[in-house]
Amino acid sequence: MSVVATEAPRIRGLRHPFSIQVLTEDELERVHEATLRVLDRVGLEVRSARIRSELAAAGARVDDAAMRVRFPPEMVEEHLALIPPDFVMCARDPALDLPIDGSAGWLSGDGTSAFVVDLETGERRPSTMRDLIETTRVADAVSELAYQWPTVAPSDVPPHTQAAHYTYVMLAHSTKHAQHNEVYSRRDAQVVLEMARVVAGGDRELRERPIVSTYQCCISPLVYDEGPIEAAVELARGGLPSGFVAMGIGCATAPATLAGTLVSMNAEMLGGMTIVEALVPGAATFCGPYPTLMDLRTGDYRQDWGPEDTLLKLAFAQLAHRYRVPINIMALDTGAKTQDWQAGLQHAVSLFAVAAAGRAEMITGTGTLHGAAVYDNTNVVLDAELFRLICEVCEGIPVADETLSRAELEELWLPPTFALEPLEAWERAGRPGARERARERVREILAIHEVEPLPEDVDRELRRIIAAREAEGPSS
Amino acid sequence: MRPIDAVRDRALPGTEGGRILALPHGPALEILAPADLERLLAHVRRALGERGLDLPGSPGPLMLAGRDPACDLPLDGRAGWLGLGWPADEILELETDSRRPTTLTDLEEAARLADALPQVGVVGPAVRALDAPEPIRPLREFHALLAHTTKHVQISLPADAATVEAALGIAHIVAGDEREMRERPPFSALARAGGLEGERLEAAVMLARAGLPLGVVVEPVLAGSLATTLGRALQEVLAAAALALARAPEARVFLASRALRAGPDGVPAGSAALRFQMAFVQVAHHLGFPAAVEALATGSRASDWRAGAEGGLGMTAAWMTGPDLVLGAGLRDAGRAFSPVGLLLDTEAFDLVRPIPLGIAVDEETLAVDVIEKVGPGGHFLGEPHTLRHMRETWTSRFMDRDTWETWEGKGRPEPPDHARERACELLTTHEPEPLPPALDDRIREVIAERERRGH
Repeated sequence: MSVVATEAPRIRGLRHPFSIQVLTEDELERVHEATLRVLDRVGLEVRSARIRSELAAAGARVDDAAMRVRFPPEMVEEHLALIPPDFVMCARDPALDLPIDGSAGWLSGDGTSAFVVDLETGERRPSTMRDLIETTRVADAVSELAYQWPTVAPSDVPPHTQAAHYTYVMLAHSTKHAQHNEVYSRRDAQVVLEMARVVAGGDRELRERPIVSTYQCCISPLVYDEGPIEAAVELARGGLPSGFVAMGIGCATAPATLAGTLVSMNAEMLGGMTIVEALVPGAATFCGPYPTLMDLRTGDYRQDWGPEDTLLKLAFAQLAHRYRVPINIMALDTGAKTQDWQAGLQHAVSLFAVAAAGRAEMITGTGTLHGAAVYDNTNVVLDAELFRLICEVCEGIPVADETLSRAELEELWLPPTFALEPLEAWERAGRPGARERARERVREILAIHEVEPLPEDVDRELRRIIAAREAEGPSS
Repeated sequence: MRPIDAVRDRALPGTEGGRILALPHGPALEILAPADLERLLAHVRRALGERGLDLPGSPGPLMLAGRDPACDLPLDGRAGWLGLGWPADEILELETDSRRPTTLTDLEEAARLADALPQVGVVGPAVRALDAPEPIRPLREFHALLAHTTKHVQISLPADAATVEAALGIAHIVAGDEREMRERPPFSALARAGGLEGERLEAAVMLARAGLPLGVVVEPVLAGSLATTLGRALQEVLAAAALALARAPEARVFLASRALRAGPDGVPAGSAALRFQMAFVQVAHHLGFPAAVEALATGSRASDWRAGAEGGLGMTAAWMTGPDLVLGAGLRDAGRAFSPVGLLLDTEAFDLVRPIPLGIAVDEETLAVDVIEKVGPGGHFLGEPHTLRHMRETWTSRFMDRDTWETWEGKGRPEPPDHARERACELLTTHEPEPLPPALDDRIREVIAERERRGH
């Protein structure tokens, strides 16, 4: 056996050579047609008078009293056609730019958890700014994570400054692309744009090299709140990729059937993307389906993420492929509360399925437990190893006369956390598993990983912007 | 690739009467590109030709019968089945997880658990009865399996003709007569493909001629490139199949592979093991053979994150490629140890992927446009008759944690193995398989006693 210990590349992507189909072409069209019916007959509740007014001018049927916007099918189709099929998620370090064009899938951390599992005590506690920085540094160090997310919600800063703090931490403590999912108002969007321009070197530079992308989440079913929808349009006007995520919960905020959940969430995402394309034609956008079901016993997310979740991911990937729209898929679901058999199984099944989905440019979900409510860096290390294994599977088996007769041993990478000492030594050591090894790796990363700092003047300016935002107060 | 609509018309299949649950075969993912597959087969064909053998062809569908006809398993390309198999020499004790050598009682208990679990279709030798004396150990093990399950029994090919003769005698007793034994073979045998010659080949031919399904097994170890390893493994397993079919053209042969190891005593070989598993199924099916794989293999010594991840990857590869048998449920530590807790957890992994190949039902009722309109923006679906009609269609786990964080902590932070252990204890207390009729049991014991009298 020849185990490889080569130096890891700075980032690692996933090819998508396989394409598992869970819907026939006819079924795909029926879902699309039903989605258009929902957008036409039901529409979206858009809680921004400003956006409703602009949409009325763009051809939507608007009922201001009910805050309802209905989209004629031809309007949706016309604006879907304007969506760029590809774009680049640029990074502070240009070597880490990510082409979003279907050629590869890129993994990110998850977010934005209100709790972390403390590395030393193993106990759950509310997350802080220090946790946000540490989780961002770990994500920067691990090559399988290609871009950043706001990982945890810092409970020790004023809520109205969080969007600015996330921007700062992702840009100052990592040189990877930052995808911001916590921009809740037009004012937040302006602050994020201002900070991104400072780091990029100006407005034109940011438009050319968007080092930040964003998305907004629909309130299922079928509602866009005032702040997020205004932020989405503002960010798109500022040149940042501005996507739309739907998080329908089957039986509660989406129908109990999978096809119904597909339709309802598809309407939410297509509606969002139609809004952006109607108001900012040609803006880079993407969809992000994060479906789940309700556990009717507890009223919680279903923690035993089952086959339905996998089927929905695969079906949404087919829809995105049909629309030629980039997609961000939540791929690492687990309801487990620690890195146990359940977490390993659920992450392996969901990530491998997404890898074979044919299209998933952005793959999300590393690092969290208990339905993304709790962040644990230990998961990042384990999920990254899983991702690398799956990347290798997707490379297939090259068969040629040369490979068929090669006596030289295949270079074999085995996950470092899988290493095992002899049985007796393992028993003596208290039977450590992958979880314990991953914790050690996290400690090692935090001890040694250094991130290229921002220039001092840039850093100073970002801190000034945050201070100014704080001074504006929560009502701004 | 099979189109999804070709499998959509049937419900999630199981055996008649619902005793055994199947993994439906959906659209099959092909890891080998067509040109690569042809190159590989040409290479194997040449190698077999040098030994005077032809590439064996399709033996057609076959049946693995149970003592209970509701447990019959057709290997007809429509579904795959989970099984115990590949005997371990150590067991992780149910109560304590401590390791010790295996006994006949362990085998009986494993068979009883398997009999109780609807996800298990094939009851093979999960462990060796190390406390049973040679040369009758294989027959004692066979008897233990027959007596503790009414499902299909699978054994390792006995090494000598006298034991095979005795095993056939036992099968005859269970089946009733020769015709019935051919139509509904109550056991099948796995034969190591490497070195299938001489007395071992004779033993295999005896079984095959009696109509009993024969799985030829390769135990691959990574040597050279992955393509080289795959080519050699296929040569080995197809040569064994060709030898058996040359002597017994009516033989019901299937191809089986253990997980690709990284060394002779090594752990499953990471991504290479997965790629090997997927390619093995693809090649077997291309040639028309049913395929058996060790998809739940793990190098972990416990039912921990690693075991879940490796099992999950293997089972995902299984639903993508559609093997006919997934053997080795419950094995840990690269097959060296059997874990009853692991068996129950592996059935959950099997369950987790079973519905996926059938895709999503799409019709006016499931698309639910009217319900979405009725609920409207900002509403909820909890009170809808549509929700009431469909809410029970959702998959529910048996061993995964579904509690709130606070409840979980209050219970002492249990993990899935704790839930599986509890259930295994319950099953072993309550589940009694339909026993062998006493008259048959006596006759089987006589056959074993006779074999014992003959000695080595």
